[in-house]
Amino acid sequence: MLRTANLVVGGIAALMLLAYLLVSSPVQTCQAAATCPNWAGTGRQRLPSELIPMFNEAGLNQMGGEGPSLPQINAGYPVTTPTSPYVPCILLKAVGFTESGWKQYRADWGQTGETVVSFDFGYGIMQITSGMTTCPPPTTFDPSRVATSSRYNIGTGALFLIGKWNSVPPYIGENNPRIVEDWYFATWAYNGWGWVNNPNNSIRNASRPTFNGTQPRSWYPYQELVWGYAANPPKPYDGTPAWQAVAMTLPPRSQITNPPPLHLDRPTPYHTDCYLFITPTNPLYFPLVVR
Amino acid sequence: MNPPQNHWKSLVGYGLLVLTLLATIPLGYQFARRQLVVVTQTPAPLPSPSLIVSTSQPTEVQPRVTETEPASIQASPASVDRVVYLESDPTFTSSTIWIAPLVEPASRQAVATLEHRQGYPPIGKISPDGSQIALLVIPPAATEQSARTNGGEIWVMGSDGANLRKIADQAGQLNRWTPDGASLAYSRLVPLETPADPNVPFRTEVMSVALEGGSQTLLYADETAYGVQPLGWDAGANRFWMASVDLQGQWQVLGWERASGKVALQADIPGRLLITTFSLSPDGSQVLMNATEGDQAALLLLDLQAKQTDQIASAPLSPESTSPFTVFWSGDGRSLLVQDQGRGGQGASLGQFTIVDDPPKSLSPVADSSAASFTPVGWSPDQVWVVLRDYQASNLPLYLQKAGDQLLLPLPRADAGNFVDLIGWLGN
Repeated sequence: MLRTANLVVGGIAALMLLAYLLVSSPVQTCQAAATCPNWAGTGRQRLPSELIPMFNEAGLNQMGGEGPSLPQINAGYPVTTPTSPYVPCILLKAVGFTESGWKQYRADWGQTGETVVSFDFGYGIMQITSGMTTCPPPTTFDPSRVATSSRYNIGTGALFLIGKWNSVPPYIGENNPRIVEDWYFATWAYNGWGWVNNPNNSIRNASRPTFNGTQPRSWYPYQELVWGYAANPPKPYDGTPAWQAVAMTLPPRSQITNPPPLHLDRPTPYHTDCYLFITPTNPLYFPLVVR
Repeated sequence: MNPPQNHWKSLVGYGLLVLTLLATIPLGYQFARRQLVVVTQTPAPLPSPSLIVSTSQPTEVQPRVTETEPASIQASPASVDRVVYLESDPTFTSSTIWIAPLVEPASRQAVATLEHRQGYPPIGKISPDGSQIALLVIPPAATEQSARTNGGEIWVMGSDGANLRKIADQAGQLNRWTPDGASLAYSRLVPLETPADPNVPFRTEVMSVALEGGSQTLLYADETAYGVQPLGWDAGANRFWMASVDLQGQWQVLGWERASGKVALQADIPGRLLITTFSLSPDGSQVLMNATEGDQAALLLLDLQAKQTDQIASAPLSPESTSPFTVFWSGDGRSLLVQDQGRGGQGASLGQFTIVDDPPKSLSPVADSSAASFTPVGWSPDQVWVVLRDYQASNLPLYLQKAGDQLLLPLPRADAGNFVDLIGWLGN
């Protein structure tokens, strides 16, 4: 009896082992077939009123475990010091709207649909592309959550913006991440650094007026679209403006050389966001802030 | 009691079972992850230059057999009677191509309607003989980055809208037709995984695609220049000109030669200028440039054979302003239409500037455009019509104006909120 039982157990084990070997070998791996997974899923398209707090939490690094871990951000010029992660909320909102119109899913507001995935694998609200098809997957964020969580997707957008801030060489003013105008070059790099978004690139309309959401996007470098949306908040749902207008100032086009200079004066007037400054005794390091 | 042999077997069996169960944990994880995975796709890689052309060195590309010498060169129409333009709906996701008689634009006819990425209406170029219209279309599913780099498609149709077909994809910018209309040039930016310089994160590729058969030739690939601006063909389509700016801000003009397939320096552009517009003359012999440097704006004319750059107009520039000049070539390449936005309380002026005279002289105004908000966006090859855009009006309307006439004729729109843009002209 026991002998029979042992044989049965051994047989099952062998079958399971065989099954595992058979099943495990063709499991999707990028190396196996030079393919990469499409992480798209289905979910409910959040209303703008639900997304706004997510943008704010991502900008203020208050996502907890619901977003990727944000790195410290360098502040100061010419000497930089790592400080706590931060992205101006207006910048995140305007970048998100420029990229996707705040759509994580192909569905009307409040309805269910599949993840927005562009043909070149840009995912969701912030159109995350880098790392979404690389093998092995990145260690700094989870591609599956980028595809299926609006909050996580926005957080990953913040992660990339901070990455651009920390890596793109030119600086504006005192390189203070709390000043939205200082993000000009990082915003440029979020879409594509270099000639493609140089405001003096001859393929852009040299006569273009300030972008307000009604002109062709092809007339403008990417960062001017973001600045334009920030100052002219869209009304994606219910006729309600998605945010309070912030008329961020662009640096003069004539000062953006080929390639841009390593430092530009901060254009005025300049703006803060998410935080309210109270008497900054040292404007360099945002000493006292109140939410 | 079990014999020791049975103990051993059962231990192996249970061990295998435990191992199998342990081993299936990641399998279960994989299955769980698969709930998110709808399909498996391979990112469509941009073909490397060696896949497109028959030779591996971009600067030593041999002309393909399909790239024949232009047989008969068609000049621009001697006189135009129709204007071609597009009209985008208020959501900026769909555009219709219209052809309108200049004498009665309201009797326009739609020839095609195309869907595209929001905010990216097609860019159109009409073949020299007026028989074909090429369109750069950014598909609806393109990202904001690919819309600016290599996510475009090139579609061609007859000027009556017939035989609309795609002849190329992964395009970034539509350039010029060859003078015989057999092929057209386009360019694109291809992301570099490990750029040699962080300021050059893309490789610029300039391509030529044949209208019949769609065969493609890589004319030029560059991973070191800060920027490359394709300019167009010379009169015989034997050379393709490109402007290139290096990481020190120095511009030069390069030429791809059909006979050798090689690219060579043609001319240096003096100074380290910000050049915001380039315009090659219709015969491909001169380059007009709108340049700024410090507190000065200037119109510069580069003669590609003489390799000489002349300044034909200049104006002071405040740090906040952009160049006051807007300029277009006449169809015969003998004149320029120049708008000077004016300064210091002066109104804008719009005049014809004959450049073959020595010295060049400015002629009487072509049209009344004293309002600075009206900016020319096109000049008919026969120099009779100007298209002006009112940049201060909320819906950016376009107006037709006949030379010497005061009347501004709006280009018709189905809805006042629609955007319109000029594609070109048709005539005899």
